[in-house]
Amino acid sequence: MGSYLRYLSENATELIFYAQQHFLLVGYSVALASVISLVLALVLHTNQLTPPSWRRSLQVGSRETALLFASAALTIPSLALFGMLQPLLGLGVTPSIVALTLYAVYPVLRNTLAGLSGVDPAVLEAARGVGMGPVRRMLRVQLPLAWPVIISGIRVAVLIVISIAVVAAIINGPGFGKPLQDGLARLGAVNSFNEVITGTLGCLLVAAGYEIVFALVRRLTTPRGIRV
Amino acid sequence: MTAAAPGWIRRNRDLVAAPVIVVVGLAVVLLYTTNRQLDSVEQRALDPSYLWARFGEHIWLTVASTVVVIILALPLGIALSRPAAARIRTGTLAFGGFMQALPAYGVIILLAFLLGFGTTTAIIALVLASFLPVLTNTVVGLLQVDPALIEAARGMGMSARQTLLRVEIPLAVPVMVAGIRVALVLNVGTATLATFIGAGGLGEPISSMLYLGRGQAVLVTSAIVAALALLIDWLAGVAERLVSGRLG
Amino acid sequence: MIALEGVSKIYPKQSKPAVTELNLQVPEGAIVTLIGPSGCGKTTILKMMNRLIEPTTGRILLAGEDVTDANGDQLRRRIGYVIQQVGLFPHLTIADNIAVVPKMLGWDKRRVTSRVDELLHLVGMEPGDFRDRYPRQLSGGQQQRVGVARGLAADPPVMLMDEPFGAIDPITRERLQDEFLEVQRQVAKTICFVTHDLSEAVKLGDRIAVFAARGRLAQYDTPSEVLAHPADDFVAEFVGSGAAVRRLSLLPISQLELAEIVISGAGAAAKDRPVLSVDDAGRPSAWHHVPGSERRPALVTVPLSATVYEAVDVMLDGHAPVVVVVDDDGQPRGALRWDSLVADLRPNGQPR
Repeated sequence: MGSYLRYLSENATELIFYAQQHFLLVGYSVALASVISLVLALVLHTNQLTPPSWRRSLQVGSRETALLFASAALTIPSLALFGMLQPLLGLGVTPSIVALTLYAVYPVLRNTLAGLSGVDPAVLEAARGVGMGPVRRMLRVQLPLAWPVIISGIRVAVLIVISIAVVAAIINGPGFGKPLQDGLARLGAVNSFNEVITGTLGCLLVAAGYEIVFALVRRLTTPRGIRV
Repeated sequence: MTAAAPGWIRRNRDLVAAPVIVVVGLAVVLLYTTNRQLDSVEQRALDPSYLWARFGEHIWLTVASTVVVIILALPLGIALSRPAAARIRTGTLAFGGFMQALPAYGVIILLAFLLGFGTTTAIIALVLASFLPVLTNTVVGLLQVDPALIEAARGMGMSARQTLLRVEIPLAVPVMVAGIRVALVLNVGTATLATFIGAGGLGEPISSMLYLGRGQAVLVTSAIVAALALLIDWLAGVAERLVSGRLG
Repeated sequence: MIALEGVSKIYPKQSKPAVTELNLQVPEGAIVTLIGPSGCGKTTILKMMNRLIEPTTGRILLAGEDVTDANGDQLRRRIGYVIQQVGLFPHLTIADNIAVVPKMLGWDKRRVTSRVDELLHLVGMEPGDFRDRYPRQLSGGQQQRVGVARGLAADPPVMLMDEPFGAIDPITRERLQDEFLEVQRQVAKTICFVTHDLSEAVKLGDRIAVFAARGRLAQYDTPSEVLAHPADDFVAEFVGSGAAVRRLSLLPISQLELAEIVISGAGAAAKDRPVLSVDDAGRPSAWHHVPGSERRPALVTVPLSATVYEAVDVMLDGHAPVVVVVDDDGQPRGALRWDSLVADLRPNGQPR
């Protein structure tokens, strides 16, 4: 225990740096995934692009197809996905973010679609009845009501991505994967175990950080009427 | 799909997609690589008998760990769903949810440090990593059984044990199987990391090619692993569909 | 026969008991309806009869046998139990659903199968059609019929029913009630039936048990007695101001003396009696003359098997002061006049 604390204090700046990197890596990926999912969900949900006669079958079909592709991404083992991106995008930050974004899409998309379709149709009908146009209905009524479900999907995505992000070290990605990999490579060296423990527990630290973020976001953005 | 297609094909058309993606994806990758020449290192990595051996190791890791998870998590999940466990239930599940952030890669290496390298350690790590989905789904599946059914069963004279075995578990099976499916896929993925602690598996060709900078071979081996994962997920999906179909 | 002796239920965290010292005896082969306001404890009382809820004090007697401490699961296999949400197991076929208790009791396969068919017939569902279907393929009324069949499956002496028709639409409910009475005529079970609907309680019950708050038994008597002579203010108010009209539904027309009518053209002198025209089949077609009325009233009829309630209903509907009572073949048997109906009924509802 004592030696671990010494290790922490000796490498404090470096570890804080890793923490920041990990935090940001996860943040960017999930944010990107959320934007993609939201846009995709809005398009799929309202489907303004298809002719009305096709709308119903295409809408349902394309929703399922989108979820299918998104879940396929999550099914691919992280090592394999990073591996497939490496020849195309090289090493470092870019392929890491791309891979993690792909992973994060499924939970967010699934929850966004579920949240949007879970809004009571009677409420939407009432909104239409008072003369709200489609855009206003979406922005003022449907999205706010679906928000708790969407947020919960983003939270799941964050947890998953925090865990997978360490594998990015394989392709020289940032974050806590680095000390993990270093510890493994230097097996037997004096700090190798400490490095591995730090890499592993550091993820929990980042997760705790995000829990605080989410608590705040939930408080600030959930409309008062549906705050649980 | 016309109305002439038999009902079960129409209802399950989403299950056709996965194999299609796999076949198309693999074809694209293979086409891409056959246009280039592979050097001797890459050829060794893509040698069929070598890959087959790694495949065998991989399957063993996946199946063994999933079976162990089922044996451990199902009874625990059943126990947690009983009214007596109500007080510790939310806490346990919330804790487990948070632990999703714990990296499998880290856990594998940590365990290797503590327990030594090798297949057994890898299996233990895989069990830990995929424990939660099965546990959560078992609990949730049992909790969402209509209380009126339980009341009817007890009211008819079924003992608590009979009610659990004949009513609650059969009705919770679809959700439990969904959890097992997630665990299975998770294990396929985490098993690729087992190579780092000397347990072999299909992660070995990927990581060694990455280390040696052979992009094409990395692409091909990764594609093979991805295809395997998708196929196993598809098989599990079919099994899941069959199970829920039978129970309506 | 099932009986509760000195039964109380006290929940641990509450200061006052849910049920206090209840004594209730359900006679053999009778339907007793338990009724009372929400929260009065009637469902608790029902559930104490099969010990789904354990009584805090008191004894429970099944056919004279003290079952207060007997094994709960085995006790419940001897008592039929039907609930409002039905609770048919969705993963079992209708036949398997009904067969649950017999199988638990170890009946052999052939006996189970024939019993299932017998019960499906009894509740009016063709076995060939319904045995292999699943609950989700049935309507609410059909599901509840299966629920009743399931309760009767092991031929228990006693049946407990907790608002079984509560979730059904009114039209189907009335049909189910009639069929239920018909079934009871054939099987003569001892039945305890909880309901919050007074008309249902009056219609189905051989006896009504009216409960006030905290499971206090306010009155336990035949429906007509409860309606005619409420035991206290609570019962009077519960039974409500419509009691007199409701009592009419307990009076069969067959028990009344009908006014004579004359068939026009039959040769008998009219004197002071109403004259009726009939068609070729002998059925009433129109009034020829009704003494005391300026114009000829509209012709309305009511079957002999009906109650005074229906007679009044038909007269109001047709704006007619007199109604012809016909038998099963449509032949006129007599008439009831509105004014004599109201005047001649004694205050206690007994006919003249």
